[in-house]
Amino acid sequence: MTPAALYTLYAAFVLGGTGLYFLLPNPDRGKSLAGAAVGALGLVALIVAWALVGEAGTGAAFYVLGLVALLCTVRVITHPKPVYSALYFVLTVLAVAALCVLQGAEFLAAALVIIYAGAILVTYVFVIMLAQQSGPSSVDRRSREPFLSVCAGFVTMAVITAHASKALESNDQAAGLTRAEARLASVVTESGAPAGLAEDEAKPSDDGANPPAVAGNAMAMGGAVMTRYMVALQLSGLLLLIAMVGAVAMSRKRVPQEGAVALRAPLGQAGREVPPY
Amino acid sequence: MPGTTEYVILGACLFALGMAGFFARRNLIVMFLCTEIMFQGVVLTVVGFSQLWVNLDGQAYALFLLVIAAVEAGLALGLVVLLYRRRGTLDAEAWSVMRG
Repeated sequence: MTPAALYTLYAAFVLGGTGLYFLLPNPDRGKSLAGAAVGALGLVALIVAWALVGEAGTGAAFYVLGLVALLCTVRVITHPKPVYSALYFVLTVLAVAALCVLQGAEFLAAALVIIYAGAILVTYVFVIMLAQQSGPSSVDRRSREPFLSVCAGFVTMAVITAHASKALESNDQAAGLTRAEARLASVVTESGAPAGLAEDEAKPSDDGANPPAVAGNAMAMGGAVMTRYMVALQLSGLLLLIAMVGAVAMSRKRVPQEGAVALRAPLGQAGREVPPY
Repeated sequence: MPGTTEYVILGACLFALGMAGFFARRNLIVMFLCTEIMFQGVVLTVVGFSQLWVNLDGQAYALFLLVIAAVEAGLALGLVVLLYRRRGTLDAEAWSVMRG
């Protein structure tokens, strides 16, 4: 990453952080148009930084989807009503799924939409409705330490970006050849991987002429998860079971039943006395 | 095709925005939504690296991350329901009695 790109990025973080600080809910301030304007400037700077970083041919789709993801995330954080936060989060998930499709991770994108937008978010909306507050409360209208939290978040952002860009750069210089080899090897292995599953289908692609996408991302993922990550798959099943038991045990409610108390005798007397006819 | 660096930057932005929201908001449900946003940032990053090294490791990690997110959502929302029943409010500050 060039220094110009890096400093543009830092400027974007400063502007975005300032904008976010003014956009966070605060009853003393009301709606802040200036904050929104500063945040928008930050987004523009971020786009410029992306354009400076980007290799030739970065598609417009990435910019649009990235902006949608960021804007919806900001609304999740700043919206005073939790239901709207959850709905904006659905938009973020959809944008992230589309970005995964851009990187050739179709199976993951489908899983994101089904699991996140379909299952997890519905659970969230249920809980929001279960725990309905009576009227607008101060919980959602006043932030806790907005300045410090924005500082923490954006400093983290800058640190991650700086280190990642440095790592990627040295990676580019030192391991360019290695990565080209990895690319070549993956073309060979991925076109060869389905050969064990469907011998005759994979035969034509053995020469490496076909890109790996032809074999199908879902098929390749299935192969990887069922072979290489088998232990992790079993463990995640176990984890889901434990979580289910834990959630049931945690959130159950003791409902007093009629007659249930009368039947229960003290511990020492249970079974000793028989009531007469 | 967009490069890995853009994805890492976007992932870092989502992660840090989620973190800022987690610190700033007081509503328990919104705090857990912010952790989900942090998960989204990590997903974007590992997918970008998966494309860089042209293998499926990153995507497999993201898939297991999805499992963790589902587990976390289930447990966290159970916890939120429990806490709401105890205090009648979703305010995280209501549970700050142990602060020194």
